Amino acid sequence: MKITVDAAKCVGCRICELECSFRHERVFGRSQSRIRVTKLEDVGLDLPHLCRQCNNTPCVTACPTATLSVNSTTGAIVAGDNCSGCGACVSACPFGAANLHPQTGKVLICDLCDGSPACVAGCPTGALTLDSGDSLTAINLEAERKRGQLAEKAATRLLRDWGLSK
Amino acid sequence: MTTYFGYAGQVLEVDLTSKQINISPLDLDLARNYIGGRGFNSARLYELTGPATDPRGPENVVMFGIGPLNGTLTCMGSRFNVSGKSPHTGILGDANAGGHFGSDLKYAGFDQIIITGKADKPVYLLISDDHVEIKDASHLWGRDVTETNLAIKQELGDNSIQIATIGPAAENGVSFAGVYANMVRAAARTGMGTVMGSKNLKAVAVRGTKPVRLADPEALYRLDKQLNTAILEHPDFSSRAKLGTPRNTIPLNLGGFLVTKHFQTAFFENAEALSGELLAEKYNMKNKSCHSCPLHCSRFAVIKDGPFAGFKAEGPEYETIAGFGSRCMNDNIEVVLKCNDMANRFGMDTITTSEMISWMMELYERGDITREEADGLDLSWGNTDTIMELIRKIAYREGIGDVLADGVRKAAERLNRGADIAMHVKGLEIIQAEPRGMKGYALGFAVATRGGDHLRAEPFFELHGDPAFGIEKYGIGETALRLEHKGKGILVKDSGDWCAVSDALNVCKNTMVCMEIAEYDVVAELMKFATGLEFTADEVQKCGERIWNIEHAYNVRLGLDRSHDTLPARFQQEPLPEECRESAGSTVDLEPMLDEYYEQRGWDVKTGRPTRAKLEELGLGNVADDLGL
Repeated sequence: MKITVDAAKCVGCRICELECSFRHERVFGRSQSRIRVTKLEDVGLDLPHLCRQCNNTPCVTACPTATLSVNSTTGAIVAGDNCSGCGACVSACPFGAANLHPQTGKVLICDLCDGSPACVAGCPTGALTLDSGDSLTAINLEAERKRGQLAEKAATRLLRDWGLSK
Repeated sequence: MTTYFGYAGQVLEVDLTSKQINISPLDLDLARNYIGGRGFNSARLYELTGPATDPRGPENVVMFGIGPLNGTLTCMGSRFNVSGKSPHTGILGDANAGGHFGSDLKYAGFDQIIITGKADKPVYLLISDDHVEIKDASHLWGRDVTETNLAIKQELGDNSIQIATIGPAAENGVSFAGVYANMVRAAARTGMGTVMGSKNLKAVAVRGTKPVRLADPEALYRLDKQLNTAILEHPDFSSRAKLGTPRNTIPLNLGGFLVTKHFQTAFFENAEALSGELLAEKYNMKNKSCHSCPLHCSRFAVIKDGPFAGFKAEGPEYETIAGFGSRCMNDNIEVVLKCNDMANRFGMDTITTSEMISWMMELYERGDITREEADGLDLSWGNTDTIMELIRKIAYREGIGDVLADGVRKAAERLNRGADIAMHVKGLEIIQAEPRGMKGYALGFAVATRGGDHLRAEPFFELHGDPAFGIEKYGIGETALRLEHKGKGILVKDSGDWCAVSDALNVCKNTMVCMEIAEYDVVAELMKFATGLEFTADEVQKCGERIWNIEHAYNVRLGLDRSHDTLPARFQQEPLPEECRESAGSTVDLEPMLDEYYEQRGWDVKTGRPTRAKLEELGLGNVADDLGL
C-alpha cells in the first residue's frame, strides 16, 4: 500500500498536514504532521512529501533502539514507544520523510493511518491517492479476465452446437 | 497560567529603536470584545496612535494581527491583517492578505505583533517560536519582493519559512506600498509597507513548531468538515475554483459596470481579452491555494511565447486585470500579467497604481497635461509601454513618478489640476467597480473606515438581482438589486458588521461573504469549539459593530465627519452612457443612503459622528469621553 503524489494537482493548501496532525494528536499543526508540503513559490511548485515505504527501509536499519518496524499487511513503517529521539532515521531517510516531533522529540513517520489515510481523504484535488498496490493480485485478476473472455466465446459455440442461439 | 485554545495566547512587542523585545500574554477581554485580527489591531491602534502621530515617524506602529482560527482546518481562517496610521490617507490604515503567513505566526505562538520605533539601519525580524531576533537586512535593502523572499529562505536554509516583506517602492517612500507574503499575497492598500519602510524594517520572517490546541477538537473538526463540504457543493464552486476572481470581468461588463476609461464609461468593448476564461484557456497552468482552503481559487500563470515568453507568476486577481486593463483602455492581457508582476515585485498597491495611470491618461485626453510634463511619455489611452514605464517610475519616484508616488489626492494638489476627477474617498483610490452600477458598494466606498474601499462593506448581496432575496432577508426587495438605492443603508451596515467579524477571524470574504458559507450562529460555534469562549450570535455581531465604532471614532478623533463620507462628483452627477446596458443612465444619490446608514449605525445623522448612547452600548464609554460627546 502506498500513497501516490501528483504534484501537478497539488495546490499547496496543506490541508493534508492538518488532517494528519489531527488524526494522530487532535491538534492542528504542520510540525506535528507526518506529511509535509514544500512550496517553491516563484515556480508555482507544491510538492507533498511522505514516507514511500522503501523496500530496504533505511530508517529501520538505522534505528539503534529497534523502535521502527514494518507492518506486514500495509507495508507501513510502525514506531514503537521506546524512541530515544536520536534522529538517526531522519538522517537515513533520503526523502526527508522522517521528522522528530518538536514537543515530544520522538519520531514522526507516516503509518498510513491503519489503511485509511486522513490526508488522502482530506485532499480537495486528488493530488494524493491511495494505491492499495497488491500487485500480485492485480496481475492474476488480469489473467482471470482473459479466461472469462475466452469462456464467453466458447459458450457461444457450445449453444450453437446445441441448436440454441445465445 | 491561562491555557489558551485556538489563540496562541501571546502578543509580541518589538521596539526597533531600543531593540526591546517583549512577549506578553493575550488579554482574553480583548478576545471577547474584538475576536482577533483586524479587531485586535484596530482596538490597539486607537490606543497607540492618534492625531499627533506622524505616519512616517518612529511613533507610528505597524501591527500584524491574526485570529483564533488561523492555522486550523477551518477553511477560510488563513488570512492576516496589517495595521497602522496610514501615510497614504492620514487616517486609519489597514490591509489584509491570504496565503500562509498567518498560520505560521500562530504556530510560532503569537496572536499579534506590534512594532514601534525605527531601526538605525535596515533590519528584518526573525521569529522562530519564542526566539525573536532583529537581524541585519542591509544586503536585502533595494531587492524586490520575490528576490527578498528567496534570499531569506536561502540564508536561513529553510524553504518553509513564512516571510512578509516590502519592496523597493516602500523603501523609496511611495505612500501606497504594501506588505507581501508568499510573494504575491498583497496586504497592499493604505501604505502599510510604507510604514515598515519608514522604520527600516524590510521583512518579518516567521516559523513555528507549536500546535494549535482546541477547546473541543472533535466538534471543531466536524464543523470544519461541514463548512468544507458546503464550499465544495456550492453552485459557485466550479467557476471560482477554475477562474478565481477574474471570473468577474465578463459579468460586470455585461451588466455595464466594469470600470473603463477612468470611469468615463463602464462597458469595455474587448472584455473577453481580459477575462478569467481567457486566462484559464491560455495561461493558467495550475491552481494555488491559501492555507487550509479547499476552494484553491488562485492560479499560476505562464507565458510561453511572444514578448514576455518565459514569464511565470501566481495571479493576477480581478482588480489588477481591470485596473491595468479596462480602466486604462488596455486589452493586452499579457501586459496586464507583466504589470501585476512589476507591481508585486516593487511592492505597490495595484489599485492605487491603476488610478494614478488612468487619471493621467484622462488629464492628457482633456489637455490638462502635456507630454513634456510627463517626461515625454505618450499618455494616450491604452499605451502599454507608458503603463509599464509609469509603474517603474512611480516605484522609484523618478520624474513624473515622484508626483504620482503619493496618491491621486496629493498629485492633484501638487499639479494644481485634476482634483475634480481624482477618484478617491478620504485619499484612498476607488476600486474597479463602477459605483453608479452598484449603489450599495457606492455607499460602502463613502463610509469605509480606511477610505474608498469595498472590503469594509462588500455588500455582495445586492448582486443577487432578485428582489425575493431582499424581501426574505430585510423585508426590502431593493436591497438585492444593485441599481436601487432603497435599503442600501441597512444592507451596508449589516454587511459591514459581517465583514468586520470576517476580518477579525481573518477568514476569506470569497467564501464567508460572497458564497454565504456561514452566519453569526456558526461563528459562535466555531469560537466555542476552537477557543472555549462562549458567544451568542448577537454578541458576535456586536463585535463587528464594536470594530466599526472604534475605527470610526479613530477617524472622527482626527477631525472627520459626514462631509468626508462622500463620493467624487462624477458618480453623483454624470449618468452612465447608453452603452452601459442595464446600468445606462444611472447616478448615485448618496445623501439619502447616508441618512439611512447613520440611522442604522445609531450615529448622529447630521454630523455622521458616533453617539454616546451607541458607544456606551458597546462598552466604549471612554471613547465617548475622548470625542467629547
